[in-house]
Amino acid sequence: MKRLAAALAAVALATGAAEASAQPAQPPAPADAPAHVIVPPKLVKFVEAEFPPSEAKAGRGATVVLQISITATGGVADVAVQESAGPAFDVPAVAAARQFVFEPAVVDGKPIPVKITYRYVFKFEEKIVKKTTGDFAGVVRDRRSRQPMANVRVALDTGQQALTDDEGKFSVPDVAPGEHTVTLSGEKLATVGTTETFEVAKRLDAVYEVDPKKERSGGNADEEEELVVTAPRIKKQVVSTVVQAEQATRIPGTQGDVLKVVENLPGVARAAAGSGALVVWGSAPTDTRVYVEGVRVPRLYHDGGYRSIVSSDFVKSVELIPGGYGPLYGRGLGGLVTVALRPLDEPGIHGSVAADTIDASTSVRAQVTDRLHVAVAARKSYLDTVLGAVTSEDVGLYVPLPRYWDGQARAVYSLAPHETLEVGGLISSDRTTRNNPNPDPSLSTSSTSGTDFNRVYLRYEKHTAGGAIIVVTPSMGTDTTSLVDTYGSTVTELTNSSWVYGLRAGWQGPVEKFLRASVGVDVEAQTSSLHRAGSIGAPPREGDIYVFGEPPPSQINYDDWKTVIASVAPYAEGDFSLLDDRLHVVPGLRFEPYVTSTNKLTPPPAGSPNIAYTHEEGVIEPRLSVRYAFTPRIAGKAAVGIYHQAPQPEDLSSVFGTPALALSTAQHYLAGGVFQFTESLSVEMTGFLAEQQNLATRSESESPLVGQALVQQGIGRSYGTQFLLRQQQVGRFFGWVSYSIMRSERRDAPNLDWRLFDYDQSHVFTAVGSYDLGHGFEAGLRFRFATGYPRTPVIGAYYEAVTDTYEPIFGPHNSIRIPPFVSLDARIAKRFKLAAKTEAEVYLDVQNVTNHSNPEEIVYNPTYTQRGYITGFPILPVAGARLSW
Amino acid sequence: MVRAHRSLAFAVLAGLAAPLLGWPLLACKPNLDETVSIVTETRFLAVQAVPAEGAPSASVTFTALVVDPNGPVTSPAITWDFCNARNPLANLGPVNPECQDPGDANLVSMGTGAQASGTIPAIACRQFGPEVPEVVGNATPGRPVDPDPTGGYYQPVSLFLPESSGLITSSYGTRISCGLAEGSSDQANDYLARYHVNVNPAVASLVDLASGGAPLAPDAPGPAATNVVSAGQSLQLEVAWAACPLTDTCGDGICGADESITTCPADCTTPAGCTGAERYVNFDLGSQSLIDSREGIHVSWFATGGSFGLDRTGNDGTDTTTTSDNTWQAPGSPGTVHLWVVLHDDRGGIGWGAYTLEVQ
Repeated sequence: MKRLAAALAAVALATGAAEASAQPAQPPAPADAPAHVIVPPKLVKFVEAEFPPSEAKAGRGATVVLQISITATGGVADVAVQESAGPAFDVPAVAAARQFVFEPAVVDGKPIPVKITYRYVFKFEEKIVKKTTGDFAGVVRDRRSRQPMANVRVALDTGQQALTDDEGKFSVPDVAPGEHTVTLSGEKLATVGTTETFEVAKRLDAVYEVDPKKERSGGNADEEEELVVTAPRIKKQVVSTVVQAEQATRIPGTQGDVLKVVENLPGVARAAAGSGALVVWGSAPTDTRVYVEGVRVPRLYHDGGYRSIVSSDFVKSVELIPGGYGPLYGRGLGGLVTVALRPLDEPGIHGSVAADTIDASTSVRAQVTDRLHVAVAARKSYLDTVLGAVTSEDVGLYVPLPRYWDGQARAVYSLAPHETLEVGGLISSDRTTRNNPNPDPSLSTSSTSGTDFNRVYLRYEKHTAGGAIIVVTPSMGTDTTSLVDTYGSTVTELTNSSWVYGLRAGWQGPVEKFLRASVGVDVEAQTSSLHRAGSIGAPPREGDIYVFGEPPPSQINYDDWKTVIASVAPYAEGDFSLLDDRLHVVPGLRFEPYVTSTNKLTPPPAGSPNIAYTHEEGVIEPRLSVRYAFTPRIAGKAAVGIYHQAPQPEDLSSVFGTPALALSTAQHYLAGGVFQFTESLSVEMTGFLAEQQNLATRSESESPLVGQALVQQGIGRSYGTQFLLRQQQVGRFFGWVSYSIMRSERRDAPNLDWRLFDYDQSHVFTAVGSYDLGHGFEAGLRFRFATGYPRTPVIGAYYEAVTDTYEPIFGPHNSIRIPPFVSLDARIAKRFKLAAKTEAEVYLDVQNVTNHSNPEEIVYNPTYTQRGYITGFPILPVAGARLSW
Repeated sequence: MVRAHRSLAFAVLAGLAAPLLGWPLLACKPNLDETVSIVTETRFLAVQAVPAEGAPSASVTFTALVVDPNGPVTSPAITWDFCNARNPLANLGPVNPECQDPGDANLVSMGTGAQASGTIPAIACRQFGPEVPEVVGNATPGRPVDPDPTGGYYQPVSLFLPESSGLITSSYGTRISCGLAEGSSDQANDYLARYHVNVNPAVASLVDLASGGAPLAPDAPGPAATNVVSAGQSLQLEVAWAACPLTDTCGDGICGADESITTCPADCTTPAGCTGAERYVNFDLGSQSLIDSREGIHVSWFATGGSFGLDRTGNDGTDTTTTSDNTWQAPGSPGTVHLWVVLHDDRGGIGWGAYTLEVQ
């Protein structure tokens, strides 16, 4: 930026009204004539003229000669141009001179008015000044025709704006760094908006594709537009899939639940029917952590996997990272699911009411004041009531019918521009009951389970002028699980009541032109009170060999214990942008000391006090990812990382587990590439290897030591490749095809062979597509294929005389599989515009359209001489309706 | 026999749209032969130990009920073994799989035949009970075995019956009298005083309620008694067992759960049990206290022909009824049908009644 040079003034003094004037040469005056004392005027207040921008741009300076009339009091009576340098310079020079203040000229001690000649010099000097803002430019196009759209107003929340030219291009210079709302509006389109992040001294190029008003399906000009941003974004994670909420709700099988889309993403195994477990890259469900805006939650789905635990109206996007994530997160050997909540910044009051076969939900968002926005949502299921009314009573005997409800509340207060404070809460509850009486009470079974959790959090977020983002999120809550199973007279009880405390504080921002850093601390503590009674073999663990429905071992025990598991993890990560931003090297480090404590090391003899046990362990977790753009269309990536996970509180029982369990460890190795066919069509391939050590497994010993029912001898490995062919919204269509081929294995003890992991699925193929039919109609299809889970075959049986039952004799561990799962699902929806901002939608979501019989579990007859399959849902239609405003 | 626990029906959720679309609720349970009450091959129906419960080093006589479609197998060549292999925690079955291997080194032979006698190993309460297991060398002692819900521990017994179709194996657990695993010394002493060993249940009678309660004559040593039924006739069977006292009365001849040799020497000097649902003292792990419990009686029904309404019936410990009902329909063609009713109590005791029916 050029800076104005200081104007130099050359003053030529000329007396005006004074009598004194220059005399011609004459003979000396008589010796008795007196001399005049003249003091010229003195400029005491100089006013700098504005350097003409046009001249500065041209790099030109000039000098304007002015005649300034100065009064006897030192003010400026008049300014006249004597030598012009052109109007561009003359005008600012005169304007500045009129504001001059002088000490007046004095002749013989008396102030007099004078006229002076003043040379006002405009000097151009080029000076490099550090840029403190970013620039914004781009193009706006018609989504369908891909033609540029002129006269579209691109406006920022800073007040800056620009109009697109005939080529659809716009430019907005000097945008303050940080996150800004960008809105597009114009005669041919309704206002749409998005959010962009600007960095100092960087130019953000964006390509916006919108639907012009007249072409919008449904024919309603006021209908909310969708903005597709195809500007290149730098993805921090080597392998991750992000789905925006609006797309996720249109996937068949999700029934409008955004977070259900995770099941269709690459790397995710297909959960058994009615399970809802999240199995990512062959890791156990408890190894994958779920976060909602930085707050860890114990689950993503309610029992049965019918619904997620957060209202879709609250969700902005969901990201699945199957492995190799950076140091900002830890404490898990598997993957990561992060849910981003939509910002609360809409004016007015908005909400929705929805109902379908399974549950009913509602949400409301409102602007309370200019600075305060609030939102609440709630949902409750009634599937058990519906089925009870339309089906036989036997349904509840055999199928666990979940009963759940959840609620969320948020209040966001704008402390300042780009600075907010949010208070929020989540609550969720699940109950499942199943009773199966038998004429012989020793064969009667029942199961009652409950899972509740709640969270309260604060979230402070600030975007600085320097382009940094500061986020601090303290949180706390409770997790409560309970399970009571009976099999005849053998009762299994397991309850866990925990308090969970969390704190995430981080700063991320530009450090140098080539470096963006993240530093912070991630703290978590969990105190638990647990109770367990019954057989050590119930509930079964991963790796146990048993048959579905088999009675648990009849030996029983009992324990109450308390645990504390806590860790503090400072972390740092740097994103080095090299080779003109084509190469990103992202090293990271997470240092995490853990404390694991339990109040019982061994079962104490009667009357003896408990002996507590504390285990401390500090771990260093280096992480590294590299991304290289070979060409604008081809990019390669790789990542490595070390991860640790604390033992589950349930495993720290001195009776049923081992209080002295240490951390489990994993290493992730990823490599892959992305090819961008077009701006919206891409294919991504990732190969991965994950290795685990120190996994807790059952003791193989015939005489296990007291307090060591579990031993950390297990190791595991998961390896494979996943593919994702993704078409972002283009015209009326979006969709993706994902395929994973992988293998996940475990070895439970050094003397045992490798065996397939219980959740191993060799092949998982998912194809999803959604098409806008026009006139408010939309249709979607989903095809899924998944290899069945491994099972251990029964190769014989023997008669057990005490219980009068047959007991299975097993073959090699996990050496057979349930047959593959195949399903075609369809969705049809119709939207109606009821009023200016009120919309209704009805939909029919049909799972397993072809009524394919999918085996879900292997079962045997009582003598184990016959084997069959329990099959899952046949064609399952779910109808629903939604009203939003 | 209802085996819902084995093949938990996975009933389909047809959804709210089901009645609208006319879709019926579909059960997705496979069609497997779940009936075990009709004898179609040589098999074990029961194993009994006398006494039903014994201390380590006590003598026990075992008897097996082996049948085939023609009736009882009179001289099965059963090989009997005590199995001394402890069951690892990693195995969820009732016994160590090594006990099913007739050549395993952990087996201690008791002989061959329909019956066998043996001495409960002296270390039974260490190997399979609440006492600290044997230690080899300087190894650290392992964890004791957990009791079953009745507070019981069992010495495994393996049975091997060679047949033309292959080796038929069975496992039995003879209940062993051991002390308490937990509790104070006072509780342990109280338990020792009040706990009385189990007695096998016995069938008191089997009647046909449809015939006015006419009893079926049991098979007896010597010529089998004859019970005549018509082809296709439906019998409403009721099995009964002894009514054991619900409260302790000194002098009733039964040494009850709250009686001891000190409190009732008349009944407890030579304690006599009851062949029905006995009351017994048990140590409750949750409350860490001694409680009175009562056995349930579970009934298994078997026949070489016809069909039963239910494979298993029974009463739990809260049900004071001393009978259990079932239906049996005779086959449609004449012939001889053998029928067995086997009683199990909660503490591993077993007894049975055998009947021969002539279908005419």
